[in-house]
Amino acid sequence: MTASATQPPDTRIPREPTTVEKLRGLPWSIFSNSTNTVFAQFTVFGSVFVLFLSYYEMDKTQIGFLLSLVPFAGLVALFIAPAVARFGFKRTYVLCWGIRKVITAGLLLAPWVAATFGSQGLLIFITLIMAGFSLARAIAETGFYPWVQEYIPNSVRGKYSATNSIYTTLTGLAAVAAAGFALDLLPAPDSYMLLIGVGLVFGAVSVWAASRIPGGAPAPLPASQSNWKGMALAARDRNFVRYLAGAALITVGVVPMVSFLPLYMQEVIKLSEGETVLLQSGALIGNLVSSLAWGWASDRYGSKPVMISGLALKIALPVLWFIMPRADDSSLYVAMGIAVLLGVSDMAWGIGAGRLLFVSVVPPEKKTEYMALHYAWVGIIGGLSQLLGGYLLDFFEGIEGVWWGIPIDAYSPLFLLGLVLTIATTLLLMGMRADNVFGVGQFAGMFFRGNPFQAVTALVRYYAAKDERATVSVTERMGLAKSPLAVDELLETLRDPRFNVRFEAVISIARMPVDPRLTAALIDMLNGTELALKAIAAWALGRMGDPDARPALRESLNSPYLSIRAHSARAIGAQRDRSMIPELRDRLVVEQDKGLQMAYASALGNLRADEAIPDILHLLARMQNPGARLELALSLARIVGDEHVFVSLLRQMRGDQDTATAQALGDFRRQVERARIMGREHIRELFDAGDAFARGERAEGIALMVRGLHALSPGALTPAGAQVLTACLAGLEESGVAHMEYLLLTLHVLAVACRV
Amino acid sequence: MQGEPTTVEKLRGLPWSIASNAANTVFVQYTFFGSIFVLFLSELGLSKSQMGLLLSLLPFFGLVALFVAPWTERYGLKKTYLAFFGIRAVIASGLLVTPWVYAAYGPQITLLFVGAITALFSGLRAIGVTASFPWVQEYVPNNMRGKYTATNNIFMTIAGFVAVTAGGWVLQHTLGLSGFMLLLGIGVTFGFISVGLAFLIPGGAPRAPRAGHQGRDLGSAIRDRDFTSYLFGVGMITLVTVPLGSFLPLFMRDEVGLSDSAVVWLQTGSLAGTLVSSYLWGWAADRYGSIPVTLYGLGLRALLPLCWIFMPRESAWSLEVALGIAFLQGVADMGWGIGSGRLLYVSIVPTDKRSDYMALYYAWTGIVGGISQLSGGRLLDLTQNLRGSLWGIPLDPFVPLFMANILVPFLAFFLLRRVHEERGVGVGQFAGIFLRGNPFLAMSSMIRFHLARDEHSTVLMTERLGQAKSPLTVEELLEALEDPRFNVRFEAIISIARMPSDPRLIDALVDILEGSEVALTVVAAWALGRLGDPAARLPLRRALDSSYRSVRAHAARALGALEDREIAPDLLARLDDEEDKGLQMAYASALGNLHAAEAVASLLRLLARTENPGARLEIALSLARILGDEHVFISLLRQLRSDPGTATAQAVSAYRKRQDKGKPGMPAVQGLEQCAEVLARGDLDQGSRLLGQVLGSRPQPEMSAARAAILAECAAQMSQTGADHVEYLLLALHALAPGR
Repeated sequence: MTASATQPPDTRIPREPTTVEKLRGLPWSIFSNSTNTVFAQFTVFGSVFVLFLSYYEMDKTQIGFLLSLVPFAGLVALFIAPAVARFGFKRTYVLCWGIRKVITAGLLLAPWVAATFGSQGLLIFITLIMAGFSLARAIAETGFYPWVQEYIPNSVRGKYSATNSIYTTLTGLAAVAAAGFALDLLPAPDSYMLLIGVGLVFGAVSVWAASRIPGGAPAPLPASQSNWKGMALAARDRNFVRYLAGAALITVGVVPMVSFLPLYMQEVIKLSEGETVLLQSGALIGNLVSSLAWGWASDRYGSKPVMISGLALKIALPVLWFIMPRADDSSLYVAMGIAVLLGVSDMAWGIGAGRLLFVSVVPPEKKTEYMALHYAWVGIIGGLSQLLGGYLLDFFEGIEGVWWGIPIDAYSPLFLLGLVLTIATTLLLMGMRADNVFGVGQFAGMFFRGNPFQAVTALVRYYAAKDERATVSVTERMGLAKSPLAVDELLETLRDPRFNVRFEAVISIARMPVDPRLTAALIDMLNGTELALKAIAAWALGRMGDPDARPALRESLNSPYLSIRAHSARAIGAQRDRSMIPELRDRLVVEQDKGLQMAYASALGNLRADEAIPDILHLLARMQNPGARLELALSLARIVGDEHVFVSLLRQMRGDQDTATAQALGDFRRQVERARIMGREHIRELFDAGDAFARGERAEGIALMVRGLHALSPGALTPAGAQVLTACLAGLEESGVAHMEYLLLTLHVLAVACRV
Repeated sequence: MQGEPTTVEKLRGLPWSIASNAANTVFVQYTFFGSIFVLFLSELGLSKSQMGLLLSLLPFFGLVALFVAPWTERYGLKKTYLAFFGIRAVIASGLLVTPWVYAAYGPQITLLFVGAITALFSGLRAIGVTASFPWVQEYVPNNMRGKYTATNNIFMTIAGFVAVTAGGWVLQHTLGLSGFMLLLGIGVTFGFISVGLAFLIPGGAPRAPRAGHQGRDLGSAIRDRDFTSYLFGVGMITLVTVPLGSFLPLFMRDEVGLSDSAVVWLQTGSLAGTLVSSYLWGWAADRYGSIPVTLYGLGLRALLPLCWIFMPRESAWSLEVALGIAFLQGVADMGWGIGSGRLLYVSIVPTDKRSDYMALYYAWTGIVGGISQLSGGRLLDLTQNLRGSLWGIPLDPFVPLFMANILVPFLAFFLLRRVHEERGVGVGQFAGIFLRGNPFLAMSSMIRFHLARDEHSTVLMTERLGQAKSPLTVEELLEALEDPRFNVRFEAIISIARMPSDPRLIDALVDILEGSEVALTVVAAWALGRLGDPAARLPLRRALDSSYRSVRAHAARALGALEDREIAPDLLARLDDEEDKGLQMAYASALGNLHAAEAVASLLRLLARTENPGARLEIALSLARILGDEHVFISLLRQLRSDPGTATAQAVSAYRKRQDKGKPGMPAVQGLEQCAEVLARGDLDQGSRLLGQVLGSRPQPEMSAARAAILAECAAQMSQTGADHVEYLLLALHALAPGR
């Protein structure tokens, strides 16, 4: 055992938890967030609090003011960040998170305060509670963000966000349903008091759970002066500033709109109080169904495409709210549908923007300064947005009417603001520097190419496959989906230790649409050391048809292995790489190996190399193997043109050779008869030849046909056709019925190369 | 003496044959067959027995076939057909004077008049048809008989469709006999056209009796069990279906409450069914044999009476339901017709004895057909007072006829099933062909495969043929294997590899494996392993001795995939002797797939001396497979690739926890804890050494020999090389995972 192995780690130096410790802490984090969701829904966030304030007859400006205290308090982050770092992110969070629960408990006294001091007294009382709550929350969250950046491994950040979202959404759903039920069942203010009480219990549990998360240890920090310097540097980071500007625009555009949405639903759309609260379930369902997909997508394709997708969905929201049916039986269902879309867009924006911040925008070594600035900025903007929302609603309170058939009310300016600012945010953030491998357009395109549903199910099954057979089967399915979504897994299967999986992966990739990463992987394989896969990789590159593979295929023509040279030559043919014609011809002439000769000839045929006709004819004359002769004949047929005629003739001849020959010859005879390019005696010979073939007298038929066709003027055929026909007639005269490829090729030339 | 026409001449004649039959369809629809004639007789006031008698004349005259068959052959089949079908059209035109006869002489004389014309017509028709059967057998090439029949049916159906629609329209817009007379006139005209077109069909030349075969040989036909089974089967079907077909229009009018024109239009439903299904039946019969097509048509036919019994009567929906059933009837009749016809021509009747067989067949169907007409009419007269309901079944005069049409086809089904047919598939197999994989994708791919114009599209269609995973595409895939284009053949092998196993596909791949095209031999070996059919084991074992190393390697891997345990000792011996690295890998991989615990020592030795990382990983996997649960190994590998420290630390921690439960506080447990800590910090090298030391220092009781050997080797290697060879760490963690 070495010395370093036995030496214990220095516990005096605060250290970042290992990934193993971080992973162990994630369930606690999710549990803490879930219980905190119940707390938040039942106390100062969500519809319940807005309705609670409305119950005590506070106007919208007052509500906006109270709600704005929460974000405004974020400003303290600028001043306390160094202290928080020194005290410890975790300790700060847990302590202040606990304090805010105690302060929130003061809301339980609201009925008594209202009864004793009236509405003004209540406003002051709630303002004090909100101020205390906001301050404690701001300090806690100043510690929270750097802590989160620390304890969540970047590699699973998207998945963590998604899983966290699923659990918080489920608890949120239950909480909202319970809140709606309580509000319908109990009279106010008892219902609100019950909800706040239950919320506080959950809040306490959340604090306890957070104490189990690792990391967030106190860290010796530079002096406060350097902290300000660090923030100044952050403020000069253009990418960070762009991000903050985008966050500000979307906050100002969306927060007021969404905050006052419950009132819009009640006053304008005419939903009941219970229905309005239930709408939150729609948003939560949207979160739930989309979170895993967004999380997965952000980990795989980067944060930015996901974030921009969320913004694109958000653009539709104000329009939909604005045009939705009002005071109608269908209003609730339409509102619920839009709420689901809101949930989906929130999740995309949340996961994408959050991941972008942590992974690409904030340097980990400067997290305290960046995060403090971010939190303060978001707080200021959030607070202003709340104030602005309330102010706008009060300002436009009297507006009502119809403009060009569009109903206008006090909420219309909010929707317009939301629409314009969301578009502006989208345009602004499109230019951000980020970690994404794919552009936004490419990302969207992935879901429209191939079969995305099959791809997604195949991906799920890929990770669940327990043995080679199942993995091979699912690799096949990934290829069948022909979707870019499956590219990563196909690349992974190429690195699978199981040979059959790798083999299957090459085949599946060969059948995929062209993708640069797949082509590159196949080229790697072609240039690699695994002989058994090199040949199939060469075939696959030909099958895919990506011109980027041409240099690699040209190079592998010099491989020491015959099979790879042969497959590469065929692949070059399939790729229509005409620049290789001279090279392939040279090789064909000197090559002794029959398999390679066939491959070169086949490639030249595919490349329609007229100049190779004599070489291929020469090879055909020497070749004895019937299958090889047929393939050579096909190569010549391809050069002459219309290979399908050759294949069709071949199929017919395999069914009934004599009849097929007689029919083909009959067609040609009628053609030349009409064109009058042959003498009557020769036409008669062709007629008799056809008759002989029809009677099964092949030798006689061939003799008559050859005699007749010798009279055909060379000008009646294309040059390539004439060249091939001359050789075929000579071959037929020499071999008679022994080499039927000559007959097949003759009929093909007559069918496609005749100029009359 | 003229010989048989060449196939080219036959093919040229087929369009004329189809045109002639289409014209003849119009003739028969407007004269003696179809609803119009029955309604015409009803209009004349004939009872059902009288109608039955008249209708029975048509088939009864088939008996003359027994006597005239030799003469028709001598005189010339074609000449006989043309002459007698021409004369019968002239005779049929005599019906045009029926209104005059009726007005002048009354109903009794009219019955006699119509009867006389029908008898004369039937006699002439019988002689013409006696000649036509062998003539058809001669001029339609067997390899496309099903398709010809289908195409012929399509045109006949279209012609019948138009004729029936027009006939219904005429009857709706005319009164009394005038409409019938107009249709008769048109029909006779088409009869002459039909004969004219038939003149252009080749073959059917006069034929002198062969030497030594001067006399008739009906005895050998009667002794032919297949032929007699067929005749009895067809007879039974004729006995019940013919009267049903004849009197169904009356059922529709009298019991269901449809108008005369609606009853005539019902035939359009049947014709539509024929049209839609004929090509499919024809194609299926050519490809899968006549018997399954015959029997499925028959089975469907037996279900129809139930539909008629329970269909709504005097209801707004009656016509629509009746049309639907008629459609099914068209489908069933087409299956039966194409299948049984092809069976007769291709499998039952020997070409050299066609005259005797056909004459017997025609006479038999004539007798049975005639009896069926008589018995049908008689049965309906006897049951004319049947009314009421029994167990929810509405009773009427037609119910006994319907019941017979349910029971008798089932009896015929079992009789015809005994008929021997070469190259046909079983009835169950036939159904399975359409129920496995994706038949729609298969059908569309097959059509597009034959239409593909270049290599690229042929390759794509070959891929789709495989994707369908349907037995329907087997023929096309076999054809693709014989394509002259290398890439098509290559694609075909891959597509076949992804198909469900099929003996013909296996045989074809074995042929390639044992063939001379090395580039395909290799992939064929792989494909045989991929298909997973144990039938491929023997050829693959033979391929282990191929002169090509690549073939040997693929064959070995394929045998591993096929889990051919018997070959394990051979592979182990080869592994120990082999020098070629690629072959060593293939044998090692196969032994891993075969869970050959006896190969652990050899595999560990191979792992120790192999340098290539990919190859090392594959050998490690083979060892992991021998221990079992390869997915654990794969899962560990994936985690290791993304975050090696965390993945290995988690695995070691999990093992430590399990150990801790058993013996808490043991030094080894503390060592594991330290090891996990070091690994979690990303120090893979130190962590590997620590793990090696811990594993090497503690005894491994209650452990299989294979696992013990693997762990011991991993411990020794890790202690020495640290993380230089991460496969040992991976393998050790796999061996320590739960369940081992």
